[in-house]
Amino acid sequence: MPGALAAIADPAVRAAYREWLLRIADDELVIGHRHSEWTGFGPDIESDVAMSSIAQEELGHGRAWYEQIAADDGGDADRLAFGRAPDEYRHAALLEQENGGWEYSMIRLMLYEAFEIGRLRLVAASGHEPVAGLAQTLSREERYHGLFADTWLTRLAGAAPGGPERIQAALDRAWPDALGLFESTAADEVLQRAGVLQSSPSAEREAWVATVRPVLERYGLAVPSGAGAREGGRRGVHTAAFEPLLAQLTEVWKSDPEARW
Amino acid sequence: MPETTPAAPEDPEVLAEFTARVRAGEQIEAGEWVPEEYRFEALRLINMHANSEIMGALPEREWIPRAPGLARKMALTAKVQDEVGHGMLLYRVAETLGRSRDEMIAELVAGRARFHNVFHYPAETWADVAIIQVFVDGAAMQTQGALRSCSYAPYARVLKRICYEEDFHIQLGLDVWRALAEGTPAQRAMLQDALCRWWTPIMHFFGMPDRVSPHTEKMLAWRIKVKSNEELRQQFLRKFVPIILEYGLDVPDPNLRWAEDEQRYVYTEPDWEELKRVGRNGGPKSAERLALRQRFHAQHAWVREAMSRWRARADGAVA
Amino acid sequence: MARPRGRRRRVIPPADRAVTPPGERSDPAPGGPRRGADAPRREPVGEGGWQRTLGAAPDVWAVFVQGRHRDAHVYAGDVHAPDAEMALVLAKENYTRRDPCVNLWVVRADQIHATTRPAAEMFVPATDKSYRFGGSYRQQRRVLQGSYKASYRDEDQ
Repeated sequence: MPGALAAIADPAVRAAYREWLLRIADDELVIGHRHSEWTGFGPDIESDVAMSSIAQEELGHGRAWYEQIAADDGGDADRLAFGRAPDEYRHAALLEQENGGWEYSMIRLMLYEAFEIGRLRLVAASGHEPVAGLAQTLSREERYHGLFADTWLTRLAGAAPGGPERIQAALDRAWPDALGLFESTAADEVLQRAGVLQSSPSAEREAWVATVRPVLERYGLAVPSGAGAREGGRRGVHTAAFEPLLAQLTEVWKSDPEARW
Repeated sequence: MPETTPAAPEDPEVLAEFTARVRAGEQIEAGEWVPEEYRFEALRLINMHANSEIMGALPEREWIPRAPGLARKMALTAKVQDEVGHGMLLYRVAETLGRSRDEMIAELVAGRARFHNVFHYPAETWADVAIIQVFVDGAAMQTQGALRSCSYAPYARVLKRICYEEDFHIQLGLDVWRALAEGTPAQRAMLQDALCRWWTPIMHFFGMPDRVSPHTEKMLAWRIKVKSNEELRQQFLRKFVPIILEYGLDVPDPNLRWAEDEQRYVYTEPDWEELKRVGRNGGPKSAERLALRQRFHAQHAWVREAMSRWRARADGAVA
Repeated sequence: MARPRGRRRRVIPPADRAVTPPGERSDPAPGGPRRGADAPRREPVGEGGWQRTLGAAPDVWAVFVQGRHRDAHVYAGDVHAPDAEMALVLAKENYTRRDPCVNLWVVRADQIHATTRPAAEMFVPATDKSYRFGGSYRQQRRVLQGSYKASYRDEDQ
C-alpha cells in the first residue's frame, strides 16, 4: 500500500515532504515517551491512568506516521523510531525536555496540543492522501489531550496555594521551546512552492499564538514577551536532554536490531 | 510494623448467625453490619492487595522507556496502566470497609504498610518483564481467581474485572516470552537468567503452608480465604511448569518434580525467613521504591492541596 | 394455581442489573477509620431502616457508561475527583478504555439514595402476579416469543 510519498514525483519535493512528516512522527514519539514516564507517578491514581492513555495514543500516532514514511522508504516503523542517528531526528526541543513537575507537563501538553491540532488541520486540508485522512482521524484523540490539559490547568492556576506563580514559571520555561515548534528549514519553502502545504510556519505560529493567548489569560497567566524561539530541533540539533532519552529509548532494541523482540 | 488488632468479639449469638449466613453462601454488601474481626481481616486483605497493585507498577515501569519496539512500548504502558487502575478499584473497595484512600496511600508511602513480596525485587533486564507478566501475574491470578467467590461482594465484583484484564496481561507476557525463548542464544540466556532470579520470590508469593488453626478455619468459614496457600501454589505449578518445559528452559529448582504417589509437585522448601524479612519492607528494592514513592508524593503535595481548595470552592458555589 | 409451562417466573430482582448503587456505609463520616454503623440486629421492614444514603466521601463520583446510543447507562464504578468536570474527564480513561462508549454520566456518590438489605424482602411478591404477564398460556406465548418481543428486545438488533 503506497504511503504519502509515493504520489510525489519530484525528488526534491519528496525529500522535503519526508523531512516534514518525520517532524510529526518524531514529535509524537518523543512526547509519547515523556508522557509514558508519568506512569505510576501521577498526582492521583485516576490522572495517572488518564496520562498513560495519552502517552499510548501519542506513541500510536508516531507509529502511524512512521508507517506512512516507511511504506515508500522501505524499512519499518521501529527501524525509523529506534535506528537513526541523533541528528536525524526532527522533533522540537519542547518535546524532549524532562517531565519536571506536573504543572510543567500540563503546560507543555496544552501548548503542544494546540500546535498539533493546527498541524493536523493543515495536513487534512492539503487533501493529500492517505495522510489527510490519517490527520483527520488522529485529531479525535488530540482533542481529549487538550481537554485534559485545560481541565488540569484551570484548576491548578485557579487554586494553587500561593497563586498561579508556579504555573507562570512553567509557562516562562516552556514558551521559547514552544516557539521552536515553528522553526522552518528549506523544506518548508519547497513544500509551499509545490503547493503541498498551504501555510508557512510563521503564519502557523501567528494562528497558534492567537489560539493560546486567550486560554492562558483565562488561567490568569501572562504570555511571555520578547522571548526568542529555541531552535535547532528541526535541523537535527537537539538539547542536552535528548542524548540520555535516546540512549534509554534504544537500549534494548540496539542490543540486537535484527532480533525479534 | 504496627498493626491495629481487632476489637473484642461481639455477642456470640450474633456472630454465630453471621457466620452461618456466610457459610450458607450469602454475599455481604457494603454498608451492612459485619463483625469487627471480619471487617478488620477483609480490610487488611484488600488494602494489601491495593498497595501491591500500586507498588507492582514500579518494577515493570522501569522498562517502558526502554521497551524494544513501538508495539511493546505501548503494550507495556497499557499493562502497567491497568495495574494502577486496579489499585484505584481496590482502594475504593477498601474505603467501603472504613478507611480513606488518602490515609491508606499516606501509610504506604511512609513505609508502614505491606505489599506483596514479589514487588520488592529488581527487574534487571527486559526478560524480567516476560517473567513478571507470565509468572508473577500468573501466580496472582490463582489467588485472585479463587477470591472471586469471597463473601465480600464489592471485592468479588472488582476481582472479576481484574481477572478479565490480567488474562490479557498473561497473553501479552507469553508473546514476549515466546519471542525471547525462540530468539537468539543471548535472548534465551537472558530469559533463563530472569526465570532463575524470580523463582524463589514466586514460590514465596503464596505464603507458607497454612497452619491448621481456629483463625484459618474462621477465615475459610467467612470466605475471606477461599483456598489454602499450598492449594494455590500447587495450582500455579500445574499450570505454569509445563510452559517452562514446553520451551526447553530449565525449571530453576532442581528438586522440583511431580510426585505421582502424592499427586502434587514436590519442591525445595523455600527460605521462609527471607519472606518474613521482605514482608517487613526489608527486600532488595523495598527502601528504594518506597523512597521513590515518597519523593513523588511530596512533590505533588501542592497539587493535592490545590484540588482540595478547588473542591471546597465548587461545593461552596453549589450550596 | 397452575404455573404456565415454559415460563420461569423471576421473583428476586437481579442484583447486578443496570443502575446498581455503589455500596457504602450508611453513616457519612468522611475519612479516617470508621466502624460499622448499622445495628447488629436486622431491622424489621416497615419499622424504619429501609432506606439509606451511601456514606461516600464528597469527592467520590459514581460513573455510568452508555455503550451505544440506544443503550441505558450502566454503572461502571467510581472515581475520586474534585468536581463533575474532572470526574467526566477522568472517567473516560478509567472506565472506557476497552468498552465502547458514546456517553458518560457522573453523579456524586453521596447523592445516591438506596434501599437497605433487609428491605429486599419488600420486593418479593407475596401472591401470584401472573396477571402482569397476560392471560392464557397461548396469549403469553405469543407475547413472549412473537413479534412484539422481537421489536423491543435490543439484543436481536
